[in-house]
Amino acid sequence: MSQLKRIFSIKKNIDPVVEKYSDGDDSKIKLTFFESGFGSSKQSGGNHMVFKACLQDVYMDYKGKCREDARLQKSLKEPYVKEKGKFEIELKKRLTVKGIIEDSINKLENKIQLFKSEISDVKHNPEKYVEDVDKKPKAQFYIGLIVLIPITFYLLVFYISASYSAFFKVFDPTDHLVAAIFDANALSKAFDDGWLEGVFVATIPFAFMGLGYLVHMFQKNKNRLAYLKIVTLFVVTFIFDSILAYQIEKKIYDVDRTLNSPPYDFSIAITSVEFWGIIFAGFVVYIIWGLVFDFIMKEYDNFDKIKSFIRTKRENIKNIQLEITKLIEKLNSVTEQISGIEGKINDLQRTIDGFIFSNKHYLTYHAEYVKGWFLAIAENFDALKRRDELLAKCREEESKHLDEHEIVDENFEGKLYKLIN
Amino acid sequence: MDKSRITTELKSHFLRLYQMAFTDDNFDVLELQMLYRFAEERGLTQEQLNNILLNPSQHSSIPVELEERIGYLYDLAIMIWADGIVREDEINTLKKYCIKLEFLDENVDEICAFLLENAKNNISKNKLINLLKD
Repeated sequence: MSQLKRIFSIKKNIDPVVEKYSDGDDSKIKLTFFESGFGSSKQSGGNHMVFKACLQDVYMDYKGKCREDARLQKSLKEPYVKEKGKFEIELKKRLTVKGIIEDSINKLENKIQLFKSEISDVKHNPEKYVEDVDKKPKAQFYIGLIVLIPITFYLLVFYISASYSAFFKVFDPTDHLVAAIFDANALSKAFDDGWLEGVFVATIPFAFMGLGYLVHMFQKNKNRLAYLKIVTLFVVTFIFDSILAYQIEKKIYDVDRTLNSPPYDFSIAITSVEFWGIIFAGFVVYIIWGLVFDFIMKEYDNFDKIKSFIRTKRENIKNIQLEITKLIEKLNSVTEQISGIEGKINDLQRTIDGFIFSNKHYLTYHAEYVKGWFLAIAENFDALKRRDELLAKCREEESKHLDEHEIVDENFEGKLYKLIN
Repeated sequence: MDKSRITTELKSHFLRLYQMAFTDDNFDVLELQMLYRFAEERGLTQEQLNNILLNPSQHSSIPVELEERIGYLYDLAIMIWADGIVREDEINTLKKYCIKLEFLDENVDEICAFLLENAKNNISKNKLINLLKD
């Protein structure tokens, strides 16, 4: 035999010798019972009181024999042992299910713990959980905001005044130079001139802020087109600022102009200090505003990210808790089933540990005994009346005896077994 | 984990083996739990597994033919290899199934080594059975 074949050999099938309870001795025993009944009846003259005592004796005698007969007991208990085996398999299954459910609950609880620790940790170490995030988004956000608000006011004031000066103001030669660029009463003067003029100068700064906002939005998409748009926006703003500066500078020039002065043109504008002063006071501050705005928006996004991270984790925890509740419900039902099965197994074990009285067997012997008894009466008493009387009384005793011991003749053998502790 | 190797036939064989484990005193509850997770990780659905766990035992007899018995064990060996590692408890389970399928106790170690070796090398079941016939 090859090596492989050798290792794959199977155990020889040894059929267990099934010791079946055989009824071989039954007829002999039956005969003994018959003779015993016949003899006792003859001796006692068929007396029904003696009959009663004898039946009880037979019953006790059989019970003792039945208890001691290991083979009989084994064959009687076999169905119970089989049934117990089935329940034990069921128990094993339920215990496995229970273990699996408990394991799942443990895992989910650990998950909840993890989420909880992440929630408390995300504020200290945000970069661990959220991408592109600063460590102190809140502080930076508020510092940025503190800077942004005054700059916003500055821009409002500057552009209101500058646009008023550029578009509507009539210059007076007596005006001081700075006052010529910056008019403290620009807004009220503009409204005095008409409400449309007022609205115009009051809203023009928002156009610049809108441009700043657009720069921030375009920056979010980091592609070439977006950068092109940003550059265009800066150029447009610069041109607009230059126009304002040019316009104001022209008005100042026209006021101060003498007869010899050359006509105002672009080359004069770009060589004048005021022109550049206006551009820097406006455009550069506008760029600073845009950068600060962009920065605080990013910080806001950051702590929004942390918040949404926490929110998601909280939702996850809630869902897991729901899942755990469901599992606990299942666990309870399984635990209940387990205790039910354990109860059944215990019950069966008690039956197996006790002994089984076979009604069916007993009835065969009992019938033999009664047959012997009655036959003796029939033989001994010729007087018909006396005989019938005795038989009737004995029959009464017999049925009383059977009732007393709850022995019923049924066809279902399984039902005939009963446990007597 | 290479789940593609776990065919439907493999799964059904595993389910039958799993069923058998419940009727065997050699398998304790912890091991049965391990097998449940083992199967779950290898693509058997919870439904398939619960079907065994929550229904009264159906009769699951041991395969009769020698080749069939070896086939069952080999399928289990393939499943064990599906995650690329063989754990001690998995080998123990395989050994218990060898005994359950009535192979001789003294050969169990050799059988397990042989099956796991071939499963590792992706030898097909037919080829393995042919090896035995030679």
